Amino acid sequence: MSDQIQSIDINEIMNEIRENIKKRGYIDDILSFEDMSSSNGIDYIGTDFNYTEFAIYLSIINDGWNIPYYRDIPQRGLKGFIKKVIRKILFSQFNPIMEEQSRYNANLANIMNQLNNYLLKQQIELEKSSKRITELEKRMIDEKKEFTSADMELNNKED
Amino acid sequence: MRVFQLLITLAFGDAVSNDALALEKAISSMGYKTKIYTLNADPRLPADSWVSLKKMPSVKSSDVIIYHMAIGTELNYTFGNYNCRKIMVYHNVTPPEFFLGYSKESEKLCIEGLEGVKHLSDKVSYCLADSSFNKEQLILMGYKCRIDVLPILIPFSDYDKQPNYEIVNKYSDEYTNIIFTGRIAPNKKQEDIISSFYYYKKYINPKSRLFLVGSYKGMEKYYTKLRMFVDELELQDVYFTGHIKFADILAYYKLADVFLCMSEHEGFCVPLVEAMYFDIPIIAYHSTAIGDTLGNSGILLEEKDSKIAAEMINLIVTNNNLRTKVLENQRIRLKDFSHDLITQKFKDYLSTFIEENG
Repeated sequence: MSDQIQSIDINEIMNEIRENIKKRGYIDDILSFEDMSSSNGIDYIGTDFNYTEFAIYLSIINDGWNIPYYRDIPQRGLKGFIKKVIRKILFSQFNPIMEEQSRYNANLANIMNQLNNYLLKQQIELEKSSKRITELEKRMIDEKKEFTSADMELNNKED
Repeated sequence: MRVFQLLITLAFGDAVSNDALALEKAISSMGYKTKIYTLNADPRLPADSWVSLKKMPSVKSSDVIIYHMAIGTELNYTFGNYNCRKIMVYHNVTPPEFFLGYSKESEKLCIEGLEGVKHLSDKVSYCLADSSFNKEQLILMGYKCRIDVLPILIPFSDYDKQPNYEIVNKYSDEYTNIIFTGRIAPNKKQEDIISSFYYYKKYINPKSRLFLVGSYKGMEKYYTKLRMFVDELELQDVYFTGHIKFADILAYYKLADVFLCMSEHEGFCVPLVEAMYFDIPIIAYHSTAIGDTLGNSGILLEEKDSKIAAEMINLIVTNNNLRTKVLENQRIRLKDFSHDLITQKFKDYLSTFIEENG
């Protein structure tokens, strides 16, 4: 299929371009990107925000903040019994620590939910402002047209 | 006999991940038991589309593992130890020097990635490379096994979805819209696109816009420098979209008049094929795999000169004959990436490999 591709005379095009460049009068005043410092005392603008990812991980946090200190013991018989006894012995040691961790997780989850609500609220405000700006811009354009038309009419009358 | 796929991360909307998911369907249609095993997967992907690598069963010598190689990871070394038939799909590792001064982490991952590729040179039986450029890179790194070129499988049906018409309507006017889609990354040289746009807007057509469509996550230093560059040039109408929804990406493709690529390193460059699909004339600097992907279509610039790029944009926009020719060539080239064609190629390659390495 690639054999059917028509050849384009790139040399002819480049000659035309070089001629255009001579005629255009370009001034080589452009700043070099390499010469710029990657930080001019300004910190990063901030990482690229992806709300979909944010929402998904928020949902994972909300589902998983509470971590029990043990996993279910599926085995039966002597092995299972011994594991359950060990679990009971360790309960007083590990349960308070896990509960403290779960409380901490819950607080973090609450903060993230609050942040989510704030984001959604800001999104609504932003959309309202955007709509208002578009309406005002349109009104400005229409009024400018009217003004120009009126000005032309006035000039014609004066002539 | 089972055919598994292995990759470090199954991401959402990522070219390599999409490729793996599409190949899985092809492998399954050939009647083989197959699964994608990965260490990390995006939670947006269906739960049954992947399995944790920790749950991968022991492999038998008759099994085949297809490994997608694109970055530095411990998996590059683990893969070599599997006692089965091994195929590597090479998507290319970006040379680490591009990230100097911008991201130590990316630099490190790329160094490790290249070491990993070299490590596997005598441990795989067969390679698939996204482009002839990738194939040559493997040969240079000491690969002696058979290497076939298989372009990335692209889900074209996704591009027929509804674009965000709010964006289309907002920017559909007498302005010339120039776009480049791709992550904000130093190897993609967005600064050269900006320089070219500067000359085009200042000296040729003030009624023009530049949209740089892509996320800058992980490349914040480079992104900041690009923003400062635009400010120093006092250049208007340059838009960095950052990470946006798919419908928004479609919108930018819909309103684009020219696709400008000044990248200095690509293993395939899916956005070039996307631009072909959306019938946007492409101007691209001839580097690495760009020429392979364009395949004599589009306009290839042999010189990295922003003024030449600016004049070329002008020619493409104003010369109807040239633009028509370029678009016709791109439509012909696009057929070489058809989903059915590439899928069949893959099936043929895999069948041949299994037969010859039984």
